[in-house]
Amino acid sequence: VTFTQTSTYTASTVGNAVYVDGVPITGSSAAMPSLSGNIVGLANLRDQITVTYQAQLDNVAGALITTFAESDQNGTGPNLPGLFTTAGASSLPSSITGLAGQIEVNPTVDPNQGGNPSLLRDGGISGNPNYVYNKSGDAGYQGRLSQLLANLSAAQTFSPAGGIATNSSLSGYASASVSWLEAQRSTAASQSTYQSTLLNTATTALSNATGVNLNNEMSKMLDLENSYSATAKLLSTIDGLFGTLLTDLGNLPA
Amino acid sequence: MTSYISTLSIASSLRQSVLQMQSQLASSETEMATGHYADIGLTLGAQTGETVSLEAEQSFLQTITDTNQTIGTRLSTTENVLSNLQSSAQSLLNSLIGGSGTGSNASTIQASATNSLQLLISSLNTSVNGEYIFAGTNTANPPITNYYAQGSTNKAAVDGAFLATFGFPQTSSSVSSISGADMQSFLNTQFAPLFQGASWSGDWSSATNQTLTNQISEGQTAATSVSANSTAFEQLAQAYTMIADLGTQNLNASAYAAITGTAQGLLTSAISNLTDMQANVGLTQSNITNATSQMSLEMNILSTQVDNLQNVNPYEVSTRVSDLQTQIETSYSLTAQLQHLSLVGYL
Repeated sequence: VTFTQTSTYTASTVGNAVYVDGVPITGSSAAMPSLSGNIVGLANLRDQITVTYQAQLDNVAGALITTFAESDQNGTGPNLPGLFTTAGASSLPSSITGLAGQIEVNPTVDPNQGGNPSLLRDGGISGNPNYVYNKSGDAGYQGRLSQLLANLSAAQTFSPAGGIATNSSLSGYASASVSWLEAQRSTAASQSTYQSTLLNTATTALSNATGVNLNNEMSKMLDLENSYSATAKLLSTIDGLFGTLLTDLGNLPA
Repeated sequence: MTSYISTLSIASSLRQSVLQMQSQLASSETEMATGHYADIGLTLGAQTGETVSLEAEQSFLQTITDTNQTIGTRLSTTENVLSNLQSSAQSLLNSLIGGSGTGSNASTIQASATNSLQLLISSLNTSVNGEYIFAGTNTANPPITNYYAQGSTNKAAVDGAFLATFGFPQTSSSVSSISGADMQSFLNTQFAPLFQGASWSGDWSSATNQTLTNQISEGQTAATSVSANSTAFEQLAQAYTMIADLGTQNLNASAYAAITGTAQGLLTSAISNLTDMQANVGLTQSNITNATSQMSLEMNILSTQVDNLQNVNPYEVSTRVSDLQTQIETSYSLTAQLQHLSLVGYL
């Protein structure tokens, strides 16, 4: 059995297959895939479940970035990242692959990084004055916040790679993702319970077939002991009989 | 034929079930203590998303309810201010009607108008939680320029218009020479525009016409403040300034009559506008109260739903715990008995 380790994993890395005598037994290239056992379970988790879940997380991250994106108030430029962005980004991400690992709060809004949280109210997070919604700087301006709130509950399109709904609101998608994960977990847990019960029964059967019962063996041993001592007793009795006989024969009058 | 059982099987069967029961006991104890499933995700499976979205919905409604509290404070303060302003305007109007045409109590009326103007300015600059509630959306700045502050723009504009029309300031003793017709014409053509449109928002007010708009329930928004740029406030400021700062106490009878007559008209109209505003504020307040009580019902329903999904029946769990205890104790005593149950002991 051979397996080459991959030491660094990125979002698009595909893991290596496990080979037996040079023939793959996991992954899509396996002609005769192994169907059960630890290796199959781990390979399945690595190649399918986590990949789908990653697609869901990427979808959520991508949707967050576009939901909070700011539009050019003069109507000419492209939308720019707002509250959520990726490190050093100057435009919206073109591909969602691996976004979940890169998404961050824009440093210009984060007070812990010297940012100004009021930009969330006013717009212009990207630093371009054309993207400022609150031109007059009013402290009670609510237009942008209401817009964000409406964006959050609006239906969006999600990549089908996530394996769940492709058209729903962001929060709907996120809760569907939770459902998907917990459903997988629930199924896995009940299968695991079933398999461990099966293992128990099989172990008992095997132990019954190949193991011994000490008491049974002990009583068998006692039987043997008893018959041995009975035989020995018999032998010594016969020996006595012969002895007596021979002695008596010697004492016969000639 | 008798079935065969190995000594290992006899011992391990109890071991397995004791382990299983102990882990069940641990999760049942958690359920007893918390009142809901020990592992919600594992128990509910695909329904977990439902509880997540129900809880999100619930906290959204809670947030709006909390915001409504703040809005409620703002509106009741607004309501108080409006009714104060209305009664002060009404009392000035009463004295104007009572002393109509006679210049004898001019000084009293002028002093009372000065008080009313100061009250108007300080009322419109009321702040709640650091927000100037009459400032429209410009809530960080006090909306009305104080007329009695040094170098204020609104006072300068009034003084400038008076000087340009009559050639002397209001404090001059020459004001007694102004005729009733001249004063009336000044009030209508030069003085009134100072309290309207661009002059009002330039010299008097930094408030925006746009008022605050809040979401008061799911899908229901309401205008939740009154702007200092409302007509009623412009009219009040105009009437008060007219009496307080046009040299009222020195005017001749006909010019004084022109001022009091115009002021009466303005005050009457302002009082009726204030009443309208109060009615609107009251309507919004009752909308918010209704929305809040409806949301509280919704939150009750949502929390019942969440409880139905997540909560365990405490009686069932407590029965399960005592069953498990009994079973585990039985297993222990059986293990002890099995240990003695060996032929070796009887030899």
